[in-house]
Amino acid sequence: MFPQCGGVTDETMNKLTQINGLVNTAKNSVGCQWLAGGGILGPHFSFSWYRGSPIGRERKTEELSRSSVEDINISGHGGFIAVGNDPQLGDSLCEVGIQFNDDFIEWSVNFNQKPYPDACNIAKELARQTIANGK
Amino acid sequence: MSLSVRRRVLVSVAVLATALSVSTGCTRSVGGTAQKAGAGDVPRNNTSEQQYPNLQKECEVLTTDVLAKTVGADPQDIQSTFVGAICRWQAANPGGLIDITRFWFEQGSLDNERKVAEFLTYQIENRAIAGVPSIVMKPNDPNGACGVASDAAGVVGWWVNPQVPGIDACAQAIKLMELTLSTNS
Repeated sequence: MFPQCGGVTDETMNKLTQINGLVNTAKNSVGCQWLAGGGILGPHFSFSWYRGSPIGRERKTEELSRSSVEDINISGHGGFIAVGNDPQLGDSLCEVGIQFNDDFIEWSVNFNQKPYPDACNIAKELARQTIANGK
Repeated sequence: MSLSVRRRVLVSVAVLATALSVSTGCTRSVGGTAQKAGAGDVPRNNTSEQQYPNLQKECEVLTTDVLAKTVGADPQDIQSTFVGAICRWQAANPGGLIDITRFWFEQGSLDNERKVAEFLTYQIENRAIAGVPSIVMKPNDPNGACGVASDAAGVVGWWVNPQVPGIDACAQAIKLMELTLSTNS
């Protein structure tokens, strides 16, 4: 079990992403989504909690779309880390999926303009915090 | 998996490329020794396309036109933001923006969703939607967010999260579920 938004607060999202004015637009039983000003025309950040859905399918979707998908282990839990590269922006997208007992979680960090902090460092830190909050 | 306006085009290209490689693969023979799938240094998940024929299509059980209309938005004013077993959209209702979430966990269960909703201290109501056992979930949300989960093909669910108060999110979520269950029958 994970608390709402994986236990990650709006303040933590603002601090890690260095984006002000994020709005939590889809807080519910399967995750949370933060958008700048609540609209889609900016960076996208989200937490997703999958219960009874194979992580392999999500990974395959990433492999069809992203420039790299690698194995990762965070706090003893295995999964994948996917990087999306944009010709203008560079590695502006990073998604970390982690198996947790019968479930898996995914943190998605997607910037849309420079400058931006390292997307994978943020996704990994958010996954680490969520795992620490999991039961 | 996050999906932006630009990514949407790229994903379509990826799907098309996969379809082409599958179809051309049937028209020529390849030399060499047959090998069991998964053997050798080939990366995992090579069989996923056969195993999951609806990969990247599962968010399309209802069209965006239907989604938009159900939440009172113009069909032009809806955008997908996330795809996979969990899908997200944002639609512009004249009263304010509405985020829509769909989930389908084919190995999940309504019982498990009820346990999670209890853990998150949501208000839970049991009801049948199109004759299917379901729960309606209401968090303590100032904008009236509302979700439904139904005991179908594992468990399937919809959430409607308005960004302003005054929208009947439960009626919209239940309507989306009614449409989904009729699609599957």
